[in-house]
Amino acid sequence: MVIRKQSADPQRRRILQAALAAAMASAVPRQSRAATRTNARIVIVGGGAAGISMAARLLALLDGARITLIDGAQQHIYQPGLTLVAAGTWAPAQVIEPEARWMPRGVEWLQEYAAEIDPVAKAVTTAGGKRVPYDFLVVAPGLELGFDQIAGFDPKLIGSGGLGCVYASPEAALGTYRMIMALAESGGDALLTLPHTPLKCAGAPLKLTFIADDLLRRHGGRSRSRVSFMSPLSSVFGVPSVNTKVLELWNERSIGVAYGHRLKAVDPGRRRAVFATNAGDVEQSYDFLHVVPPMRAPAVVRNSPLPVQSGPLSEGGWLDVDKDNLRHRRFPEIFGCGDINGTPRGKTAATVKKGGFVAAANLAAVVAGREPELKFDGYTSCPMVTSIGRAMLIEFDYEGRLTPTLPGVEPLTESWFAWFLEERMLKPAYFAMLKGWT
Amino acid sequence: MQGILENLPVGLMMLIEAWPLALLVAGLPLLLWILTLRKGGWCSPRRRLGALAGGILGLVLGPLLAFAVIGGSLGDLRYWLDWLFLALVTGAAATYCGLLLYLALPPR
Ligand SMILES: Cc1cc2nc3c(=O)[nH]c(=O)nc-3n(C[C@H](O)[C@H](O)[C@H](O)COP(=O)(O)OP(=O)(O)OC[C@H]3O[C@@H](n4cnc5c(N)ncnc54)[C@H](O)[C@@H]3O)c2cc1C
Repeated sequence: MVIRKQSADPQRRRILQAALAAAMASAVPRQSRAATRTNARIVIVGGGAAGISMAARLLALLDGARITLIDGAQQHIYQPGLTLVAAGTWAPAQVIEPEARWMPRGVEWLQEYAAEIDPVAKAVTTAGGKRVPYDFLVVAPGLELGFDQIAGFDPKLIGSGGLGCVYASPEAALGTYRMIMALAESGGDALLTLPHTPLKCAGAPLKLTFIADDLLRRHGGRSRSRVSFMSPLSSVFGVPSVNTKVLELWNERSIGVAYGHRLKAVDPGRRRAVFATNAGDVEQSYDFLHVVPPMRAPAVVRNSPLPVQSGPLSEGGWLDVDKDNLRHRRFPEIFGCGDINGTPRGKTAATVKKGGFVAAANLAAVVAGREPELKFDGYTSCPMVTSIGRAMLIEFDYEGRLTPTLPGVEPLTESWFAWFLEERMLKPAYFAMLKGWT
Repeated sequence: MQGILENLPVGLMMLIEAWPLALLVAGLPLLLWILTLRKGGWCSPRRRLGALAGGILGLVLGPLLAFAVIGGSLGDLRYWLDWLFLALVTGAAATYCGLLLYLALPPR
């Protein structure tokens, strides 16, 4: 019988081999099929979602390019998972990866932070004083959390005295969960804030509000608590249809919203928060305060000649890129990828996935002596967790149009399937992006 | 459709990330098949009964495991895609458990 099975094997093996080959062909980046030969020196500043995936894509696109990635961080944080840590669903360890694990082979990793970018001399200087000249530069250092813009607030306090912030770190996300659970026991006032600046994953402050409400309900503290979202704007989310849907759900769940309230100061000892409003400063007491700080470009970009020069985006020092081809408007050998980009929308890992594809292809075209060919539509995605076990998969473009990519997934309908995508699929999707596979 | 095709490598990454589990799931039926290889023919009433019992077990275990692993509960199923997804998970669990019990029982 064994022999008979073996005689049938070659055919089965051929089928298996063909299936495996098909799977691998779909996994290999589409760009790798037409690699350009070059010996250009390419420097990438930042080794987060954008920097690592750009390095992987450029390696596939450019044969012989000398790629140097500058980033002093030894840990790679899977940031979309921070919300799940704050929900008590994941442990912090689930979002922490060694940076070395994802560094593409063939890239020289300079384990230092960039301190200065000189686009005229075409060189980056590291914090340790090393000068790294480049022919082409990819700027991808993410963004900086401006806790210093909230008087009296110290990020070290997150996880104590009712203070939470899902953005700061995995430990802070866990501390945020603990503070919500403490509120579930004591009951009281929960205030959840939004900054007035562009922010990464603009859905995260809303998710945290849904999660806090859900945890309070599950653990019996909701009837003794008041949950309020404090927005400095006249909406809670930039895409009108999503904004309406979220407000509808919040209304059903008795979550209040105050508009025109910008968190200005915190007095942790007295548990009071000060909000700047049109009518002057307003002080409110809290038992749980979710702080989402103003965000800005890291100093290495902010203090260089690279930021947007005028208009609303010039305030945070964001990189002055063309929103369509992601090339710098004034320094044509520079491209931007990720949160640093001064584009109308899109500071998510999903933006990195689609935008990085465009930026890498356009950079490769420029290396090959052509003009940028691809155009980015601003794709942004955010699985909006509406309770533990339910989410809405929201995808949209620069214009705020909903752009669902998966058949059957209704963007404005809460679903368990969307939760499954958030909880189980997003992390492998993120890693596949780091590899340059998607 | 393009969304699905674009995300095929994600499936590959899931397998790579969870390789011990993937190996166990794929290897268990294979191991059982090898262990029962010399025990005679393929089909027997006993094996058919085993498959049926395994299938029923899978129908129960599938949703329970899905909620335990993914989170959520029946109340979180909101529209047809959720139910379709649960049906797929349940069907897969029933098939798999049925196959396991079928292979686990020696034909005679
Ligand atoms: C709580 C939370 C929830 C989120 N949820 C989602 C979600 O559901 N879906 C989604 O798509 N996205 C989500 N995001 C957003 C997503 O994580 C970011 O948009 C993405 O990580 C941006 O990638 P990046 O490479 O631009 O920045 P980062 O990933 O932050 O990486 C920046 C890198 O640059 C390095 N760096 C900084 N300064 C320097 C310097 N001077 N020199 C060298 N290197 C430097 C840093 O060490 C870091 O490694 C979420 C983010 C948070 C915080």
